[in-house]
Amino acid sequence: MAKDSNAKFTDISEDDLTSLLDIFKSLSLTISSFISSEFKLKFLLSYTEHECKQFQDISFKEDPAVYNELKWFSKPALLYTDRSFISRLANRILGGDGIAETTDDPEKWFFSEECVASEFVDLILDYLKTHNQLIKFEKSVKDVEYLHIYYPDDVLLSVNFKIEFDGEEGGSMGILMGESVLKEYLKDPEDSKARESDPDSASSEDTTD
Amino acid sequence: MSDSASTTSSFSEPVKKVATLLLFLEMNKPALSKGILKAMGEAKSRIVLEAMANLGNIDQSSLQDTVLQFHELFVAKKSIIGGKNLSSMLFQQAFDANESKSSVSYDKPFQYLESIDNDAILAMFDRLSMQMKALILYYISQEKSSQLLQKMDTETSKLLFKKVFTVNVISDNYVSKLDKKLYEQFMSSAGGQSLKGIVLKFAAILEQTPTDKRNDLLSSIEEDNPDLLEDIKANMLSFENLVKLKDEELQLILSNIDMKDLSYALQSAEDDVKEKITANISSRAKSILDEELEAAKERADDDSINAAQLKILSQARSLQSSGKVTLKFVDPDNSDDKKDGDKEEKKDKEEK
Repeated sequence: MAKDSNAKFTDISEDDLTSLLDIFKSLSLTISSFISSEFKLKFLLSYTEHECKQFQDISFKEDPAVYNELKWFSKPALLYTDRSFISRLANRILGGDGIAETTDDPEKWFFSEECVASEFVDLILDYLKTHNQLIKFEKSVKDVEYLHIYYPDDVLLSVNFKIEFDGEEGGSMGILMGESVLKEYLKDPEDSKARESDPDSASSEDTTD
Repeated sequence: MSDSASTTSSFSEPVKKVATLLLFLEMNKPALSKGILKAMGEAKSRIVLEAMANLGNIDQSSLQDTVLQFHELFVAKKSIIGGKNLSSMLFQQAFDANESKSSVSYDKPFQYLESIDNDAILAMFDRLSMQMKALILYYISQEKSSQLLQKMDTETSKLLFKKVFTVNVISDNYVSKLDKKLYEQFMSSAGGQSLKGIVLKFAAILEQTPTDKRNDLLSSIEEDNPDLLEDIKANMLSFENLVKLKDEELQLILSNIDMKDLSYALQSAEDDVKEKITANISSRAKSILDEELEAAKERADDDSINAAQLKILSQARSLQSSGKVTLKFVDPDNSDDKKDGDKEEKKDKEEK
């Protein structure tokens, strides 16, 4: 369900937004199947809520998380996953029973958590790439303050998902996207591909953003 | 005293020997080393090449020893086998008795750890979750697992022991990926990027620094970080603390140094150091030393004493690099060490 929105997009209608969310919901299920078979465990990524807000009004959870800066259709996007999920997944991949194991110092992550965090985002990107999504990974940080990809008054769509694995709730994942990404998403994938390969076109789009 | 401060410290001695031999061959017969590496396979070659890259300066005597050892194995015994057999045999013969028993396979994850020093693995373990440690123990040989568990505290080893039994790998593919990442991360930091590595490196550097300058440096470290100073000091080898080594190691060091240097080095030494050293040389060497000590009394000054002590320490480090001594101090509180020391003493007396 959409929360009370404080901001609205200028070029994206409510109908477009509804279509987009349907696509994301469907995508989350297919990603779940893909990840389940990759990690050989019952994994379910399911949509919980979305909201349209200015970046300055978006509150990130205080729990530790990994924030991945992406370029989706050459525009910035943010995908974040909480650490408890990463820790549990790392434990399962390492042959454990899926109980989160973290360091005494919350700032420091275990080597396996770091690897699994990176594997997880790689897996999602691989999946999206194989489905004609022009997406690439830029960098990953543990503190969202270190990322400067949006201006405070940029209006963004924030979509939240809950993660379940082995039949139990195992964490959450979120995506932030600006209007420019959503507009590209609504276009025909082939158009977007052509736009991607035409730098002049891409730069003019950036300017209008 | 910890293991070598050199960048090769994380490789076991046999691997270093293979790396040294291949380096020697590369300098003399490049085509031969290439062929050996090819036949050795990618996984084994990767380890040996990594060790080669970290070898640094190899002194003439270590090189000679290694080459002669291989010569003894393959030529003197007239067992000349070419191609793939040569490389396998080279590797198998290069590993000591314990390691050859462990039937090293590079197809399973974490197998490169079989050839890594236990202390280096435990230092790496500090950054790993318990589950990852358990997974590593699950895959490596029982000998290696046993050695590592014995070096851990009881609580940790108990917990790991339990975890190893419940390891249930769900994806071999991801274990392999983690294995590869760990290899890259571990091998790239094996060159002393860890704090322990830096401490060992600077301890060795400070040993070879003239006393005045060394004291200045140590004072400045003390101002900034007293704990670090203690750590460095604990890893520094000094002429005086050579006597804390096992008798057999001290004897080996003393047999490799010039009596004239020793006579100068002993001029400023305490009586207990003199006694320990004279008790660990042969009676013939002792008579030469007595003569040299008399002569040095007249000529020795602070600079020459310092230079002689540094020369002896340098020789000790060189023997450590070639794997002949560990430079680990005997812990007076450790009954096993003491027992060993007593045994050595008895043996020495018998020999004398």
